[in-house]
Amino acid sequence: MPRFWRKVLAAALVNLGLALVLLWTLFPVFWLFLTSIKSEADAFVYPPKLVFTPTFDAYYKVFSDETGSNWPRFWLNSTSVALLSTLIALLIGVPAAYGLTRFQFKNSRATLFSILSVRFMPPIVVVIPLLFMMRTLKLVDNILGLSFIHAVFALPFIIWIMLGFFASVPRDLADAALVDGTSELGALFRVVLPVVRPGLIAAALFAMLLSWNEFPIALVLTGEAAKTIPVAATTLIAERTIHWDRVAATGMIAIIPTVLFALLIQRHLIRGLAAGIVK
Amino acid sequence: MLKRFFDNHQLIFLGPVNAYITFWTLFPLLYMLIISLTNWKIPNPARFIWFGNYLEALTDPLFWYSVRITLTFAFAVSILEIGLGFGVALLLNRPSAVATLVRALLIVPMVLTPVVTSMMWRYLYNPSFGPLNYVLSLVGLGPYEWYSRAETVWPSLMLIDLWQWTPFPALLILSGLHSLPEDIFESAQVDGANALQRFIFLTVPLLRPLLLAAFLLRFLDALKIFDTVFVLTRGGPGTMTEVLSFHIYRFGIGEYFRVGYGASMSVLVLLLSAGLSWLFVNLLRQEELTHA
Amino acid sequence: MPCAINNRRQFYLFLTALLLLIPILPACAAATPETVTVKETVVVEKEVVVEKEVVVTATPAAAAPVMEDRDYYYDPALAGEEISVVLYEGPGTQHLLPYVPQFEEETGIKVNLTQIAEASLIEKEVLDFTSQAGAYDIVQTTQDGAGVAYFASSGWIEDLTPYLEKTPGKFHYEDFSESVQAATSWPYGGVPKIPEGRPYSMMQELTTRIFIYRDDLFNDPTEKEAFQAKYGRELTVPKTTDELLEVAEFFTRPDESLYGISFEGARDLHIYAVWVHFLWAFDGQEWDPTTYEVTLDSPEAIAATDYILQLSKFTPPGHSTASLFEAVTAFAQGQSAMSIIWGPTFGMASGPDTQVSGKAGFGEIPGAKRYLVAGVGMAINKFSQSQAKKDAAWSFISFIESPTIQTKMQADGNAGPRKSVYGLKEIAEARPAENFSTRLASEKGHPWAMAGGVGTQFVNVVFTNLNRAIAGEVTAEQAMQDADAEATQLFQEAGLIE
Repeated sequence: MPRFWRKVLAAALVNLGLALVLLWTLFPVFWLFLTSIKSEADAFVYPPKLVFTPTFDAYYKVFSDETGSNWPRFWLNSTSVALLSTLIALLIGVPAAYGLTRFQFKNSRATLFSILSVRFMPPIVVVIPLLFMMRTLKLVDNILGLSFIHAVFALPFIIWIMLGFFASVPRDLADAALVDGTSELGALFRVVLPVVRPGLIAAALFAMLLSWNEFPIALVLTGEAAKTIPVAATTLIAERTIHWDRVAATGMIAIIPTVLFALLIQRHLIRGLAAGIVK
Repeated sequence: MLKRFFDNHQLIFLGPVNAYITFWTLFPLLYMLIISLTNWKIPNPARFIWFGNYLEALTDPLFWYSVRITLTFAFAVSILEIGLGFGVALLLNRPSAVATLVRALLIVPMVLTPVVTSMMWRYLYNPSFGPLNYVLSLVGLGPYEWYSRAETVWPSLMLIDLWQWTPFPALLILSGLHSLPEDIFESAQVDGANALQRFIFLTVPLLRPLLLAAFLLRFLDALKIFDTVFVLTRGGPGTMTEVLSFHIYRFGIGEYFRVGYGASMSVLVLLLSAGLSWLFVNLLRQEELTHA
Repeated sequence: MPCAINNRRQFYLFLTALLLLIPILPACAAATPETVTVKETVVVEKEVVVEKEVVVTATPAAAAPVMEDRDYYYDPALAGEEISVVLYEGPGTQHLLPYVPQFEEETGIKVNLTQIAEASLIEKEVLDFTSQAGAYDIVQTTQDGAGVAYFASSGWIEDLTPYLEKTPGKFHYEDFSESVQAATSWPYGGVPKIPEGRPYSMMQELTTRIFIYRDDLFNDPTEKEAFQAKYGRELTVPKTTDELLEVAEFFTRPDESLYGISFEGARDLHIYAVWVHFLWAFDGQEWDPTTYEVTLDSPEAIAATDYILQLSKFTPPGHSTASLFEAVTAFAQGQSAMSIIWGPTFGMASGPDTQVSGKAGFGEIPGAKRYLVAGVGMAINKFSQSQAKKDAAWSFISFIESPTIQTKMQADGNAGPRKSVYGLKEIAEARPAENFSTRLASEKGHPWAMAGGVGTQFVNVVFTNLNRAIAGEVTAEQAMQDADAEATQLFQEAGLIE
């Protein structure tokens, strides 16, 4: 087969493959969306109805439901906790990552290891002691308390991503600043950080996503006041709810902000992910 | 004196993170350790039984079954996801509008609220009304009781994980592919190596540290599987899918409130995770050294 | 990068910013969520317009009742108190919400209500009890797995005797049947309750399992003919367990997507709720009420389990993980000819939104002799921060449970436990199936798993083993023997048996 046609065939196959990947990736979400705009009767019929009159009834019901009327508050809570926990994790984690790269600390491997192992612990495991601890500190069911805990889980990720970025910054950059008389910390903030901005952004975005979707800790540590989206969504998808259209609507409400957010930041995320691994 | 304080780099840079993590994890860890040595079951009062819980866990066939299936599951999905992810990355490694679109949307499964993902798949898998069975019926394939039968429950759970997490290694490998130096490939091509040979002998070895890191990350994360089991099978059918975190949940809080016993199993899992993390850190360091 | 991508990103940025801003604006304005007056119009086929002059809104009565007129506990000194209530997320709570403002008006007590998903409710409450924080003054008690027995025997909730004593006579505690009183008292020794039994909670929703079937199928001449030919008797609504099995077999036709019966098989308490009726139908019991000797390995219990397994052969696919909604949906979509459901889910199983609207009949579970007392109730937290709060809590509880409010809630569709209320003709006719289930629970009811602190765990042991049997992992006999062994150990550790 002549070169030209080979290329066309190859391109066609690749595009077919891509189309399949797209279909595979989005079909479940798309179907969830479809279910959420069906009327209650249409929602779970067999064979599934592909032609139907769409209605936003389910969304209306979810919003006007007792707990549903609090959705703005849940959004606010989730956003606040995500922002606050990321801020804390950045403030603490960025200097730590920088320090680990720049200075030859004696027990850096031990520190790194202990930080990382936080991440690999199932949250179920620490839920009860955390609850007792937060009760004593009077931080239950409030944004600050939950943010503190989310920051703990965000730290390993932030440090790991920033390690990669800091490692690719030449030492001379900071050394030059030191010659001018600034302290190490100053050098970090004034000279190095601007260079690793993409990494910072990636790390921050990842941490926010992590916090937004976190469930077990939020479940135990929040009541009504600081309830976050995953907890609210689970509450509404309770056993007695056989209203599939409403469950789908709840699901969509929970994921739409995250999806839009992710679409927005995906480029930064990929760069951040890779930088932590590949030098 | 103040100058000495600010000159102590370890204190300034690592101090906050160490203090923060220690504060929030030390107490829970100690608490968990102490509780694990008791037979505390809410609401009974607690009594120290020292290693009684550990003995019970280590001699409980269900606990070992749980460890085994969790490790197997994590291993299997990680390998599959690396493989599939590589394929997807290769497909995406061409400059085209379609590729850019797919790459942007590929992230969606990873960022969905976990509970929503599980519920969504529960509907998809419904044997009588779910669209999956419907689509399959159009090509004459039987209705499947996906997560209700012993034969199909593991593939069903794995499918969900694959759907959700294949994008992660895919995107990672894609960035890796982008960062490969062109000159090596060009000179190999000049030397007469065809596409397949270039792939096997150049691409894969060059990406090894990336693949290893991706595998280890996915593996450690997959060990924590909980949501899908909680929403779909609740450890069933029977006890087939009682993965570690669900097992601990069931005994420690959910059904039995045997906090002491749950804590002991948590400590064991912690040791497992710590061991694997240590392996991870060391392996990674080694790769960095040899790769540079 | 080409311009197109930039624009898309900016578009997403704008959208996200918008989305993030929108919630902030109203959230700043809104303080606490207002109680929305939700009058759900559940149109059930046989609904009759209620003639009685029942006011179904949240607006308070024209004139606040004088203290002597009240049929609930009231103390003017309590005005200004604030109480915290935690309830499950479901119909029982939905129905009392509209009356909270009225209560606050009439008594001056402020009510802060939190709703939690049923699945997480007990965990949250237990954690609150063990830390003795007293975050909630009123806690929800569920009858499944014996919330009352658990909380009362652990010393976490208040004995209601002194509170009942200071409540006006118009409250009529005797309006709650013996079954209900026994189910909400501790210590427990059967129905009617033993002299030592003290009330610990007040039920706000009373229900049990009922049997539903496709009326149209049973009256269809073709079906009747076919049945007569195959089984040699007339096709009637089954009344005994043998008849049920036969009819279920008859209606199981996978090619037509029709199955005999649908019920839960998943590993949660619902399968227990079905199984226990057959346990009692076969004259078995969970344990000896006086000695606490576990009798799960008795021939009766094994027979009941075996029966469940046989019945499971006639269920729609996916039975071993079928939870409540799969079971009800199967009937609602016309996939099963019969079902055993919780009374309040009758509307969801056969209401106008379903494929079987108007075709469902209901009745007693074939062969059943006793019925579960199920539902939810309210109790007072012993670790409440002050006696005043506890009194205020009782004021709220007795208000909700008072004849006046219960009548109104019943008209709204609540399945309340008062005999005088569910016995009203209009109420019975408005929602016949739900009313029927309340009546069964009240008159033939029997509490379940009232085993001190380990009731829930007992239920867990049983349903785990039932699920294993349904999944085909073990035989009925093995499952029951395993359950018996585990439960015996459970009781021994809890000190119930030597």
